[in-house]
Amino acid sequence: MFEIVKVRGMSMHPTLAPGDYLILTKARSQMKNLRAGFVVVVDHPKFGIIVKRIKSRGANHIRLIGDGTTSTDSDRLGDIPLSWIKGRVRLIITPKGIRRL
Amino acid sequence: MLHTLLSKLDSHIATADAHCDIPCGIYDARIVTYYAVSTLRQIDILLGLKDKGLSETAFAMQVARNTAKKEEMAENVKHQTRIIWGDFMKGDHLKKHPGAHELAHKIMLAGSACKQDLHREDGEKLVELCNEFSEMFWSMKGVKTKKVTTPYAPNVEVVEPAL
Repeated sequence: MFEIVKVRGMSMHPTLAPGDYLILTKARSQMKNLRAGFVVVVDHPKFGIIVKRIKSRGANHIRLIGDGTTSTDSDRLGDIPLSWIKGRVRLIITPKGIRRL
Repeated sequence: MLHTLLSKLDSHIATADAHCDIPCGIYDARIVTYYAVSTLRQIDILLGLKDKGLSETAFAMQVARNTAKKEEMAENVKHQTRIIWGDFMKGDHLKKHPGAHELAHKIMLAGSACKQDLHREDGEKLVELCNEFSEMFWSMKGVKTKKVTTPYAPNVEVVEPAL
């Protein structure tokens, strides 16, 4: 199952730029295989739909971090239950072409 | 090509925020022109140091201090421009102002030029571009602007919102 979202903001720079489109895979079976380093899109109750990199993985939650130096820190974002994850970013569609992640 | 195709379907595609900070919604282009004027001021101070009759040591120290500050101010211009361009300018803003990307890029280059060398015209160019950026920003916010001369050196014209 796939979904497309568009990036807004600079916190994932240089990996993602504003205006990039992301293809997410949403299979529930993938959730147990998520690990640090993967880029995910999360439906956060306070911050809305955000895209971040997994900083660490617990049994039932993850912690997030941005690639950019000015990203919102993981303490402010808090522990993210796996149920908030909308999907893992697999492809990046930029004006220059497509990249796998 | 695929990117162009998807951009035509924008209204049907959700946005994922890569927040630079807690999304407080406070954006103000005055900070960009403030740092640009400050960069120009540091350039002026540096260019005037040789006429101050400083000792060799004092001259070297002053050059080091003002050069560091000049580069810091120019970097602040670039940083604040990137935030406004990357986080605030989007959707309809960019449709109405398609030159926003090019202008932001010009500010990046002008800011770097101010960091790399010591030419007053580079500082003037940075202020001019930031004024253009400020006009564009306030236009996106639906706020009229006015030009005022800073009441302090380098006494240059800056774009301000007519609040």
